[in-house]
Amino acid sequence: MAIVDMQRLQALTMKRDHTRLLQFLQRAGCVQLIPVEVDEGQAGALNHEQKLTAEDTQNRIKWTISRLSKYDAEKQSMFKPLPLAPREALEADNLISVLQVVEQVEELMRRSGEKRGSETRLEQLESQLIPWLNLDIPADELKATATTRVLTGSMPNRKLNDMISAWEGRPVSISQLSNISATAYFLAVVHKSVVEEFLQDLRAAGYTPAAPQTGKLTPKDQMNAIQQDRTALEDEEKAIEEQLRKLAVHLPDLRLAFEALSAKKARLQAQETMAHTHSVSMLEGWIPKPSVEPLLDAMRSEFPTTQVLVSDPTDADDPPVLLQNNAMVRPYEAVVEGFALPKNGTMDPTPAMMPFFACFFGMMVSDAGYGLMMALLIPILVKILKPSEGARKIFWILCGGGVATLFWGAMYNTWFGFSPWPSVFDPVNNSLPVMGLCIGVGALHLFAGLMVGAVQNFKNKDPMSAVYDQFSWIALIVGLGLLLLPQTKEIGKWMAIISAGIILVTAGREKSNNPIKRLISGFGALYNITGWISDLLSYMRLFGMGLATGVIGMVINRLVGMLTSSGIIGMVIGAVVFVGAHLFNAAINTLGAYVHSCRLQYIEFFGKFYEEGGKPFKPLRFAPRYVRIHE
Amino acid sequence: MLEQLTIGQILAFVAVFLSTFIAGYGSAKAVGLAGQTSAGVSTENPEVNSKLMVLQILPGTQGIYGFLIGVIIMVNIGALGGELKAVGLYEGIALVAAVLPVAIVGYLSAMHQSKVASAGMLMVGQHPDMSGKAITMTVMVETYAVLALLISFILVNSVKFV
Repeated sequence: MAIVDMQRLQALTMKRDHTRLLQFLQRAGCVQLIPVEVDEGQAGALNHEQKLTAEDTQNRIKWTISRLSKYDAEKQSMFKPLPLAPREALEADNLISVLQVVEQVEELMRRSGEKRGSETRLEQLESQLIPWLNLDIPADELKATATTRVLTGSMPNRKLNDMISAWEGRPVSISQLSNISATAYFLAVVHKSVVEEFLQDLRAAGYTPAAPQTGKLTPKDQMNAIQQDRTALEDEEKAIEEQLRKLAVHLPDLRLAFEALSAKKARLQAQETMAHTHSVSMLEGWIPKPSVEPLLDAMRSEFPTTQVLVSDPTDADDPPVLLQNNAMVRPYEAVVEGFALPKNGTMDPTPAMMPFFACFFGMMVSDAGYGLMMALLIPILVKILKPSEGARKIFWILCGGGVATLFWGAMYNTWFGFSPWPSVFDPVNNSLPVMGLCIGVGALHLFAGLMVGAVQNFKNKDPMSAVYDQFSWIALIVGLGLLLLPQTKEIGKWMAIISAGIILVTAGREKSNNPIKRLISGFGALYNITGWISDLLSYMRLFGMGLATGVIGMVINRLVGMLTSSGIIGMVIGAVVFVGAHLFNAAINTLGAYVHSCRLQYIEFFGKFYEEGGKPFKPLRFAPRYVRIHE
Repeated sequence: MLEQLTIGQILAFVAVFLSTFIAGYGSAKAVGLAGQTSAGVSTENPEVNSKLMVLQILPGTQGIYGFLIGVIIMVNIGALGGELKAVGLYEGIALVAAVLPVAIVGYLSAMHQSKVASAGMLMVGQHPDMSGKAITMTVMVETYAVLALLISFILVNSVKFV
């Protein structure tokens, strides 16, 4: 129910055993290795190359998986659990067959790249040929003779017609070959005597010299050849795709190989933290106290020659932080981890936070219908999807939130946007009590935060700090609250005055012994009362978000009511709209409720006591991405 | 029916329009901006795309708040089914004033929220494990939209009709 105690584990083993020992530790998955401090020269670095190769191979396999996955016969889906794999498969070291697949895919992709290159080249040729398709002799034969010269090129279409009529009857033959967006391509055979004059006219008309692709074939035949090449390329593409599709059957093997390499990489990394002489290896790491005995028992039988020393951390150490809670509270660790882990030696805030988180979530979603659906459907979803550990935590948070939503929805009397019964709280028509409720729950939340801080102070054997920093604030806020009611005004006044006095005198106790400086610090601390006001007002979001869900639900039902009153078709459309719109409303509000609940924990609650800064516990273990380990 | 509308009723419609339009416009722009960033970051790092989706829709809530106030006015004046209630000139003006908090604060906070969301997306693109923090940072901005929603809601509900 707290932060797990960590112990330092040191092991001395024969060097020939050390890879096997790492494998054993990876299976156990409960030791985080830390670098052994040694003199220079003894440190690892013996496997740097091996690590790089493993990384490189892993990247190639990952790339291959991404290429092949679109041909995967088994469609991956959000609603399908990851396949199971035996643990041995993740320790396999035989990559030869997998690497063959990788090489084949790489070769195919190389061919596919070449194919794309040829395709662009053909496209270019084609576009160059199009203007000359009507030329019925090969370009190579367009040669000047003893008496004529040949000119080819383009000019504006209109001008060409003018030229043709202007040179009518003279020793010139102009034939238009094509007309592409008002630009005419032509072939002109000109008698030598008039070449200069003709050229001058051409230039005046906007002539651009251009010539068909040289070759022994006519442009039309060239075009046909290109078409044939393209068909061949298309066939090639189909062939490549077919082969990729065939290779896709190896995807499960590729994924396993990827996992095996990840595991190997983790072991190699661990190996680097160890210290080695030529016959002995030493490792050091953190292990959660509850795991020590089982691990040592197993080690004694498997590695009888290995010497193990387990010791408590010293004050100078900063062991990693692992949270451990019972099944009810455990999912909410994800919320804490989303912020930052608590510092070593402080308390795990998860148990204190959990009821508030669920309560706030419920107040913000605030539709009993949605809550009921979530509470009922999510356990089923978890059964079907078998999500990863992290995702499962979120699922259970939502499920717990669903139960709280059912409660608050019943209080607000909102069931899928309908209000069938008289309600306890009515945010739309009588909002003041609900706002008061929100602020009240918020004050409880903040007090709970202070209480955690107080317990922390008691644990540190510093009860007076709890009085000065936490209890006095609770008394001050309660006192100020009591001032609002005429019956309790008198008590409230004295509570507030006394507690404010305590804060004024004690808040600066650690800063200085000078009484005046202390008083100034005290005033500064008292000014924090404004912070309390904004903290408390922040809980108005519980009201706002809850209102939003309820009113949108109500609007949906009105719209559906209008639809269904217009006959059979209206009823069908209405039913679809009803389901879709309520799903949308539930989704958007669940997201909002989740993030706002988080925020209320992170800023308001944690702001009152939390000391962050723990480093997460990252043991050497299997962390597969594509598969689940079959135990 | 149109010629029977009073100026007060027309002002009430204007109030509905203002809250839906200004807040919705802000949210649309904001979600659009965040969407562009999301697309850019996803090009670099496609794996974080689903995490970015949450960040993208966060600035969308302001539009919903504006819509909400609009609907509450419509319910209060009886525009959603049933007879339209009589709305006096002063009540109409009061309604227009009442929607201004959610409309204006909604617009501005949506714009700012989308900037934080976009910056958060860049952060998530580099460090996918920080998406929780990016979301928290983005939600900070929303507080003020929620407060404005509350004020508008209280004001709108304080306008009574016969």
